[in-house]
Amino acid sequence: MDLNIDDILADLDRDTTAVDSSLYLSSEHDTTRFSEANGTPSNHEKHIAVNNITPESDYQMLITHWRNERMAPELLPYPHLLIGRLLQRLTNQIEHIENLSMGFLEEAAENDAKIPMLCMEAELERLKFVIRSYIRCRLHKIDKYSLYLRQLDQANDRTLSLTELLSPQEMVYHDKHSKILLKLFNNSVLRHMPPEMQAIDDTDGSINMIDQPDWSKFVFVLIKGAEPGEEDSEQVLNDDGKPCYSVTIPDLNEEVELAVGGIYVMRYNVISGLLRDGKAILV
Amino acid sequence: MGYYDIDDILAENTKFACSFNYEIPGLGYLEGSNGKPIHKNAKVELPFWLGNVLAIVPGDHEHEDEEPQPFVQLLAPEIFSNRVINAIKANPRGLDIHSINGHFYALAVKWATLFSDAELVQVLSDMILERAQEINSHASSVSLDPDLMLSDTTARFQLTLDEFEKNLYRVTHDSYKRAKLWLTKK
Repeated sequence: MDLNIDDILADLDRDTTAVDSSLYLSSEHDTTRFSEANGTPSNHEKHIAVNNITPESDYQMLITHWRNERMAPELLPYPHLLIGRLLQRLTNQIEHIENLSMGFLEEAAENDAKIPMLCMEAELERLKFVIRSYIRCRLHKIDKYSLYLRQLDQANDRTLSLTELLSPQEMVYHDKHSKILLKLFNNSVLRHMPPEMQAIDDTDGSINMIDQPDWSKFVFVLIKGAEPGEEDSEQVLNDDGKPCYSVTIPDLNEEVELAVGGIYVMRYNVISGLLRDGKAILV
Repeated sequence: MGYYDIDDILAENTKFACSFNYEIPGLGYLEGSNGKPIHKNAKVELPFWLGNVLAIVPGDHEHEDEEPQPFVQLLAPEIFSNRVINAIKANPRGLDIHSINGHFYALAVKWATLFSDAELVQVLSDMILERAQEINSHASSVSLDPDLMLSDTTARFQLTLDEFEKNLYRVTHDSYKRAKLWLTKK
């Protein structure tokens, strides 16, 4: 007769190796949970702020956000807290490196190696590159969809306010850039037009002037599943031998099962819900 | 197909044959005779952006009991005639659609949306699948030697692509090329 004592062993494990395992586990927990938190703000975030957030997990989060932003057709919500933390760490680290190098100047003779310094600087550059690329990608989308964003801002039935979607600096950019563009159009072409044709966001004409994101763009998506260890609480979990989510493609009225760990080519509007919950990432 | 899409604008500039359902004064310049009215049943070549709208918007009631007809009737164009459709069905890979029209797909999409033409869509989606395989096989043969010119078949194939396919080819070729560069050099 076999006695399954795995759960008892697991309990023991948790006690004895509290330090490493919690470090390791919590970092994974944060990654998944935070992407949710950034979509739905405040009460979630406070709850998580108590959990320990490590620099590694934040970096992982940034990479996920960066990839999603690069591949998604729409502008994704801005992770205010995450970027705030990262920028704070960035300044701290720059100061730290400066202090260290000052130390080198004064007492250079000690047996200190140069390698840690090099690593720190290279790491800093890497992080800065990712953040820069992320922001630039967002700015590109803001340029492209500026009329659409403006329309979102004016509509009342929106689910997401513009302040959650954009960072304060991006708000300023969006505002000023569209003003400058409008001024250029007005001065060069539009003022020679009849009054009823002077609008640049006319939606009643033969062609809609507002470019919307291509919601049905095909994207590559990796189904990551819920946070590790909490498979049971997953509501759309549909057991077919393997855990998977089931989604419906509205145009074809077809139901598809997305197995956890699988990579699919899917329409964006089909998987955008999973993406927002952090259960899927774009690749 | 956005508002500022240059290819879309160019595609919509293609002329389509239309026949007028009304006599309209002052529009003679569409026929090339200024100042005169345009006659009923006159055949005129209109750009798609104009014909499209005129074919939807209904004119005045001529007879009380009838449904108002639109200003113009779009006639079946040469590029979607049976001859072309049959040629597509026969051999999509060898077809020179650039000579049929430079913006074949864009126009086909617009045409099929206007008339909900399911058969045309079916033929075209089969065609694009077939041709995409051909495009992929041509695009994936990358030579890193700049002196080596394109092979003859590829060059000839490129001339038969329409604007949409050219773009597809360009993107595919570019990504194959970059991947190869990255793998072989530093």
